[in-house]
Amino acid sequence: MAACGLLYELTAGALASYLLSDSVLQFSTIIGAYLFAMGVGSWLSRYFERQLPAHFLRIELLVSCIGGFLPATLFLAHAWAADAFRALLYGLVFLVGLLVGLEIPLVMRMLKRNSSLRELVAQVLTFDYLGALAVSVAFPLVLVPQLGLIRTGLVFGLLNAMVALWTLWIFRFEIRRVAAHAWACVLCIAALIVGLGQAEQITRWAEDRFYEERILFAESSQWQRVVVTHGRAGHRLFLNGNLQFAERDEYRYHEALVHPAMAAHGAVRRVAVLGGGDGMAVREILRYPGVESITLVELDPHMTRLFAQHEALRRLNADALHSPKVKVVNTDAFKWLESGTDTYDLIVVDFPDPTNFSIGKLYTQSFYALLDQRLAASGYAVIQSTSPLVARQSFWTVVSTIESVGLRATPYHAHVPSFGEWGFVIAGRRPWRKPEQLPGGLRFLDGATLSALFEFPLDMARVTAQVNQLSNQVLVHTYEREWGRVSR
Amino acid sequence: MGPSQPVKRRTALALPLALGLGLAGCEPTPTAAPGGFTDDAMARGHRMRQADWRAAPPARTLRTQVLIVGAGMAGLAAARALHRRGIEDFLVMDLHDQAGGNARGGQLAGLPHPLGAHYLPLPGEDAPEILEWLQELGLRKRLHGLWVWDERHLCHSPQERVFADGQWHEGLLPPAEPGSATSAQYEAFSLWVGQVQREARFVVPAGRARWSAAQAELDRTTFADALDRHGLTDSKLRWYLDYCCIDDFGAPAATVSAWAGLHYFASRQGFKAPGDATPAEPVLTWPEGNDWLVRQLSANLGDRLRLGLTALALEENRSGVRLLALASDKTETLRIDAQQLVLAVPVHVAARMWPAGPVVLHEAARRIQHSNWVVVNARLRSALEDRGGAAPAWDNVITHGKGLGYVDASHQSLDPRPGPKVLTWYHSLGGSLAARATLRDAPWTHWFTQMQSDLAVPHPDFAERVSHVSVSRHGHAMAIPTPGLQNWLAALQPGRRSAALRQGRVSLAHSDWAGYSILEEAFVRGHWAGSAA
Repeated sequence: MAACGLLYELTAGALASYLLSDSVLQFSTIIGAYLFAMGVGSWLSRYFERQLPAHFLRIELLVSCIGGFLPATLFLAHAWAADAFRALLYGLVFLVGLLVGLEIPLVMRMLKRNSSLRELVAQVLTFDYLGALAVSVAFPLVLVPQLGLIRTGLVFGLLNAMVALWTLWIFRFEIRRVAAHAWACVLCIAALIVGLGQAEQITRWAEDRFYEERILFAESSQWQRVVVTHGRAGHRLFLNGNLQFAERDEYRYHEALVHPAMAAHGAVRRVAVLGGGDGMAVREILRYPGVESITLVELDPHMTRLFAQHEALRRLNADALHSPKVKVVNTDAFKWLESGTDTYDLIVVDFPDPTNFSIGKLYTQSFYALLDQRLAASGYAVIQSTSPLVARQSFWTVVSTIESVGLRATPYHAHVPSFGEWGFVIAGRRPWRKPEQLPGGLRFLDGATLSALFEFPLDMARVTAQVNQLSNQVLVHTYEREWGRVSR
Repeated sequence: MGPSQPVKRRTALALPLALGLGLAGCEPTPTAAPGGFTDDAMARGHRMRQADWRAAPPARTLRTQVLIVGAGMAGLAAARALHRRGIEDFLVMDLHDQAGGNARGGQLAGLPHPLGAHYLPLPGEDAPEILEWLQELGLRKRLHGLWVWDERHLCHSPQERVFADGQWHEGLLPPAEPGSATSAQYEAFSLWVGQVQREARFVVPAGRARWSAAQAELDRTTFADALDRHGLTDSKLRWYLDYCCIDDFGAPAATVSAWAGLHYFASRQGFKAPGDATPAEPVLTWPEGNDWLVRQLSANLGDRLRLGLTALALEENRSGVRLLALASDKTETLRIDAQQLVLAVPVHVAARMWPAGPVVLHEAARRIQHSNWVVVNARLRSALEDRGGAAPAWDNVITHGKGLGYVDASHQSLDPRPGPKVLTWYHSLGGSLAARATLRDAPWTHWFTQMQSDLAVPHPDFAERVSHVSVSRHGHAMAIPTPGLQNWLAALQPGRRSAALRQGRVSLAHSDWAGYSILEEAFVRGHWAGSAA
């Protein structure tokens, strides 16, 4: 009995810390509320006088149903009515605590008829605490890993219902309206068994919702699914399920992407950003007052619209897309490069990784040859080029390909926790030199540590690589092989 | 489907069934998508055989210095050659409403696609005329002293894949276990190709190399017989070789000569047995197929390009040549007087319009058989689901299919956004009379049903994604290099095989005179004729 009681408390605590995070706070407040409710229950037990076994049976049934369905209810409540979750959590914990608090005094009083108080207290409390020990060990080691929270709750609900049934059998000559009580027991057991059958469904459905955090925005455009979530890592952007940035550490990525090339140039006036419709790179570029125009070439109008309109996302990119200097062009980058002739001091190339042959075309010799044509004589381009640690061959393939069109390539890397060790390449016709100074207000880069990004330790050091061409697409094959090794 | 392929019972049953249902109006899929034939000018071409136009006198007369009959690749190359020599007084006429012949292209709901020929292998040094032309177009450039091709016009990777044993595989050769009998046969064929490459020079254009005794010997038998004699009978190898022969010549190994079957490999990189690491031979290609090249050639012709004009009769007189023609939108005939004429049409057409023409022309018309082709273009609302294995490629071949597989016209797109696309399905009917009758009489849905049953195996969702269909019929499309043909052609101009074939004021310029139909042969023959006229 107490075992069951403790179990409900543990499941509630575990769920609360799961769903609301901050486990210390959740566990301590839930245990507190639960114990307090038990106290209230114990106090209330004085008002139960006659028909003790019948009261006990009914309480036991209530515990079995409320407690048994507690985890399932909380899961669903979190998915459906997140606002009311806390109230429901503490309400249910209090109710279960209250009922369990009622149980023990009633049991003692029922058993008093057969034995002395000394014996009784010793026996009841011994079994109570033994049960508690068993459950507290079994809960994290056996029950949750084997059954999951929802099923653990239901199984213990069933145990409670069995106890009720047993009580009914023992006191069948004392309890009035035995048939009605029997029906109540059967109904309760049936409900719990049905619940067990559906547990898989409920778990899958509810977990789908909560593991993915709160979805702030989800929209499928013609060619990709844009999802913005809000959770422990702050806002996160997913394109077709692939993480594009996490608020927690995107500053590391975007500072590393923009500033080494931008600050080294010294006098950037005209900038083009290819890809990167989230406006984060634009935000970094706007730190330089000398910039006159930024052309953002983003394939998907949904992306640029989202990051120009959504309140929370505008805060993230410091409203960069509303700057009068920014011009958004929604077209594909290859076509944009081919169709114009004006040149840029800085071109930031921030495409998704070459996961398929279509995107792979944006990492080819032909692409970089066009890029070269749109670069001003003293201009730099900077290209995000996957992880040199995980996909070492892929990274150096990009470097070799850039060099094959006659551009000088300067590779570097930065650590972005959400992504891991990430690589970039600066391309230009003049060599890259470490900038004299970086703009103020940065959170990641500073002049003293910048040169460390340009050092490649042994496990990321250069390997010979073939030039990636439209007609061979070696990069896509290499990339698939290297990342496949990691995810498998 | 070549005669050497046993007709599968399932497909043999499916065809009449589908046709019957189509007629009954309850076969939903083929007719669900709007479609039809593209203008194939079949009726126009056959006008020549009727005599009704002979009675009325010509309404008017045009005069020109050089008249080019046929605006296919040969005719357009002849026009380019004239222009380069400073001769601007010429006319190019064609019975179609569009220049290009077999290399024409089209559009389905805004998406370009080929109607026929759709790629050009990178020419070698034996075709300097073509190399020079491609340089002129900026497709080939000298960079740091090296010749490089413009990557954007080369077929993007992945280039080709084959569907065999329920899976897609890279390359076109059906996979074989290392050490298996098939694998050994692949090796043996590769060695044979290497051997004939050493014994004789196989080049494109074929006329550039001296016609040797070894080649003459190979031209005496069919490819299938020669393969049998070499013990090369493995079914996978033979399927692949049949596929190659139909792809290039429109007829299977049992019909073409051993010279032709070997020329396909020996004039290029040879036969690559599995495990050979050399990448696929690069080819130039465009979403609209070789129509891209046609447009470059016809861009500056202006009103010297006369389309929808059917040549009916040709006669030579003392001052030049006189051609009687019929405009497609008129009932009256037109007379064109020219000092010189380039006859860039298939030999059987040339022979019919010029009864008094040279013996060699009539003999050629008698000897040369043509294969008939159907090309179905299907526009899809979205990309197809793909079975496991190699990723979608430009050329997707289905082993033992009815057709030669399909080509994805949007493969060359640089835009990463997936969207609607057009698949082009190729099917050769061979050269028989029955094939021509089917080509003439079958409704367009017949061909689309065939494409559908072919693609249904690797792509069960094909039918539901189709939004538009167009079917192009190419009658008498390609000369079939049957045994003996090369020997006969070689004897026509011993020692001077790479010069224009001339008969008085008339130059004969068509790929038929090479005995097989590829762009390179058509182009150089047009080029020679235009340079000599």
